[in-house]
Amino acid sequence: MKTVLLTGASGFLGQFLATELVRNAYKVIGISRQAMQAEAGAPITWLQADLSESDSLQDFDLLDSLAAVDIIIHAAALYDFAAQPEAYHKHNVIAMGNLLHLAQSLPRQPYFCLISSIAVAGKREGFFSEDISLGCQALPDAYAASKFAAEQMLRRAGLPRASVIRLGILLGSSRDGYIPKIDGPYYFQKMIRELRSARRVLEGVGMLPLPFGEHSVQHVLPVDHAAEVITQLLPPAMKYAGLRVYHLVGAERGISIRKILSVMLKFYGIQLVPLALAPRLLPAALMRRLGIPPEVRSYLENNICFDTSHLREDLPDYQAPAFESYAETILSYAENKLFRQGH
Amino acid sequence: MKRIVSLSLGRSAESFERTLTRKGEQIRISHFGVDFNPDLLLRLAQEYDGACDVLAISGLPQMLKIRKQEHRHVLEQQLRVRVQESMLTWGQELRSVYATQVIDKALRSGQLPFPKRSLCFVSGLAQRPLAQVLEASCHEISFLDPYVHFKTPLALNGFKNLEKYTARMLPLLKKRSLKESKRLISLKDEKAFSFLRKPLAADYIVASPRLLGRIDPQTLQGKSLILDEMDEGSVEFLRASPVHNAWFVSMGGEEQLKNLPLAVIEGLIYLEKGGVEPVSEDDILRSMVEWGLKPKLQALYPERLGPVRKYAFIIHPLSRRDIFLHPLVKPLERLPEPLGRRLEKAMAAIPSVPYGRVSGSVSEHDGTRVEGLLYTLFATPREMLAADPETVYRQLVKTAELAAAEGAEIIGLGAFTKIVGDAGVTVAKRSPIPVTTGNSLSAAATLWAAREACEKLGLIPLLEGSPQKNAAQVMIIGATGSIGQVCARILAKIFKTVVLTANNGSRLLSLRDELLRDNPGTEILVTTKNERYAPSSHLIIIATSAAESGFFRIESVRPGAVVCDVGRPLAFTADEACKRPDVLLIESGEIELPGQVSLSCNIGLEDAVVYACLAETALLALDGRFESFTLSRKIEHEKVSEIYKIARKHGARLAAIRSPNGVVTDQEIALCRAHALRALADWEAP
Repeated sequence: MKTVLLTGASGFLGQFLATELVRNAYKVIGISRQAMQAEAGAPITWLQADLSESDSLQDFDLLDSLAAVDIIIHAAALYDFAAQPEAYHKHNVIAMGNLLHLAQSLPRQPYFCLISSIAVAGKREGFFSEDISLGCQALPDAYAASKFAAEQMLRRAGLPRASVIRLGILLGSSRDGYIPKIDGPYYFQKMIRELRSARRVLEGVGMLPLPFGEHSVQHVLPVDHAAEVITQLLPPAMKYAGLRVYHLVGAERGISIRKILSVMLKFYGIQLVPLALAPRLLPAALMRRLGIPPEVRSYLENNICFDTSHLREDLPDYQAPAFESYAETILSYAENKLFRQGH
Repeated sequence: MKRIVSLSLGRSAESFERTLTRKGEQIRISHFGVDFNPDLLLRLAQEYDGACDVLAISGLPQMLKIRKQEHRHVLEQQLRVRVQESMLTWGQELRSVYATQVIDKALRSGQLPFPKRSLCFVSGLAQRPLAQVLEASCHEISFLDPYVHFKTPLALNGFKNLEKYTARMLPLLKKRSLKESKRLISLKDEKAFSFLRKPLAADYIVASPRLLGRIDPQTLQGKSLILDEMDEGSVEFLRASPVHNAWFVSMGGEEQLKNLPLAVIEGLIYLEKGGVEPVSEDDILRSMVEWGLKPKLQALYPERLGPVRKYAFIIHPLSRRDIFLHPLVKPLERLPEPLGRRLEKAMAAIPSVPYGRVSGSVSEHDGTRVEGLLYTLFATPREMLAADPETVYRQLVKTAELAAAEGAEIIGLGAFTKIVGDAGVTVAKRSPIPVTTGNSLSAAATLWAAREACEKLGLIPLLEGSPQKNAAQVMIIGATGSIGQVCARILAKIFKTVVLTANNGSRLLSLRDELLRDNPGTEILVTTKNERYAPSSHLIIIATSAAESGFFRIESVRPGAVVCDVGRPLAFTADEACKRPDVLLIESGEIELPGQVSLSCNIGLEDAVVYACLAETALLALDGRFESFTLSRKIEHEKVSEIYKIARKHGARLAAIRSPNGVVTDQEIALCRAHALRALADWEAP
């Protein structure tokens, strides 16, 4: 039985990962900033530690209890558009340094798996290979910069075996739609929801101008699917020496925003065709008025194709889930559990 | 376990976590970039104060010593006040003494080629000791400080001006916030940043890892950099950017000390000597000896030597239609015809403008790289020949001055610019950089292409190099012209019979006398009628343009003959070429430069193929021969064979053989041969 040290175990992805790992017969030690009750979530061992504190992992008792760790999955990260750059630096860069130091000092030389984000691709278009050497791409915000810094730190840490898994935007679970907060495409759902009242007027026009690029795509995937694939990926990925990068993004080419919006409009029974309004031309104040954080803007004009050949090579049966198959579930959850209860 | 926390003002992507073992003791090194956020740097320093043994700080402006007075940036002062327990190290001594010496030595000794002796500092103030030392070996040194500090579009020339600027601005500079988020140095918007172009055309741009974050990576296209320090993040930044090469100071020594910030090395020295007293100059010197540190200059791409050298080339539209290829005048294309003619006249007076770049040429011989700057005039051949040569000279000299300012070291004259007046002699006298017409390689490429075509067709036995002369007959139309003459001289050594044709009989006679004197065994025939000897010639070289070549029909050519057309416009149209499938009609040789060549503009050729005269300029630059190689109408045949050798040395190739109908494939040549053999059976030489 292999032991996994899972950071961010109480987070959105972390909860699903913990359950999935336990189901696949891993022994899981979860690290969380908050003190967790043993009965919450999956049956795992909890450690309370703040990775961003310089001396959090210096405790000898702690090191003893981690001596048997074979795999570290670093899923803890700060992701919040309201956060300051300093906070990102603290939780995504400094914490990474401390965790890497821990990994370097553990006796079994554990396998290190960093959960990163496709935001590190920065502002670029076209095909984005897993093996591309990054270094001077323009990064859109402090979140992307901090995740990229974490990747580079792992690259330089000289661990014998490691991987970076760049995730697309996580949606709720495809089983019940569970998601704790509004993010990514949900902002659009909220906006469309609020337009319901003006439906009559809008339907007279026939079109609905919305902030998105005509050819832009979003790389979205349900969280439970992400957790499943990461767990399945561990055994084959651990065979490679050095650092291996994976893109786990749902559909390789993404789903066009137009399609996502059409599905949402249909969900609310609005008979309108979305009309693309270039988001970069919209003032930040208007975006805020529409309920969309202006920071999201740069993500609404992406047209990148993420290479998934490493993933397909190591999981030959891998199939990206179709957006239509789970759209209804996640939209209903957000409608019933988030919006109606006043989130 | 001892701990060094290293904080850099630079990009967070350069962060790393490493554990070293020195003398049996483990030392943890955590390096964090703060993305140009001084508040964060200060906060982290306070947080780690006491929690680590050494706080190594990088990326701050260096302390300035002016008239025995020390000036420190306000952030440095704050750090010195707030950090109480841990030792602060800056790496100042290592940087200003050792790194500086290494760079200075490399430039003086020629380890780094220094052709123009010009340097551009992104910030002279941040690297003042280095600037002070290097100034002595430079012809030109410029600083972008006013722009980097205050966004004033101004570059300072010379160290004196930097000193003046420093003295005036010091009170402001000491307090200037270091919060920098924008990539400031960019040539993306040419107009707004035109003042940056000249300084950035220097041999080397001097920067530090932190200052790299201020440069737009695309601006580094083809540039060479010198850095006084290096870290892994900056190596990755540079590798992902289109920079030509970068040289940086590396302290050498053990593998585990590689690419550590200098402040961290100073921190290690501090820990090694017990961690009590601050590091002195003597400690550094002793550690350098004990640890076997040998500061040396390391190249990002060791296989690329020297900076990218630049050459320039002037072209112009060959017809009125071509004028509109330039994006600047594209909108004028739809003007009605009478206006168009006036426009043609008016455009001829416009001075030259940049048109594009030829990048990616690499010598196969020694890896030297060159980049071509293309300039265009708007005069069509008609206007250019009608104009007063003096006007054209002025335009050309102006272009040469423009190109020199951009860093070009030689300029080539394309198309009709080399025909006007005395074919480059006057321009070369007035130009700040050498001038060449490129005709030597044009001639060489013509013969090169003719030989290749003859060999492939296999109907003419070429006995080059043997004492026995080729039994075939060659005809040169326009033999008194500059390319015609040199072709005649060379071919007279190879062929038994040489026919010279031109309009001017007396010039033909004097050329004939000259050839006979040098090649007594050769039969030299002269005529002013092209068609007279055409049916008996195996190889015909048309070295003049259609307008001047006189009456010449393709029907009169012998089957199986090779007709090589140098002139522009071509003597035969595509339709005419189709009439004679048994004749191999080729355009003179165009050249493929070595390397992954790309052109950013349309010069009327496909892919990376360039005109031979452009290729000559490029090859002279590759060979470092910045001299006026070919001038005037008289081409020396020694020069022709010399440039041919240079072309072969650096790996330039003849582009695919072309006819007016496009590229000629080997299959087409085989087909032509079959046609020719059939036609020859019935052919009666008149």
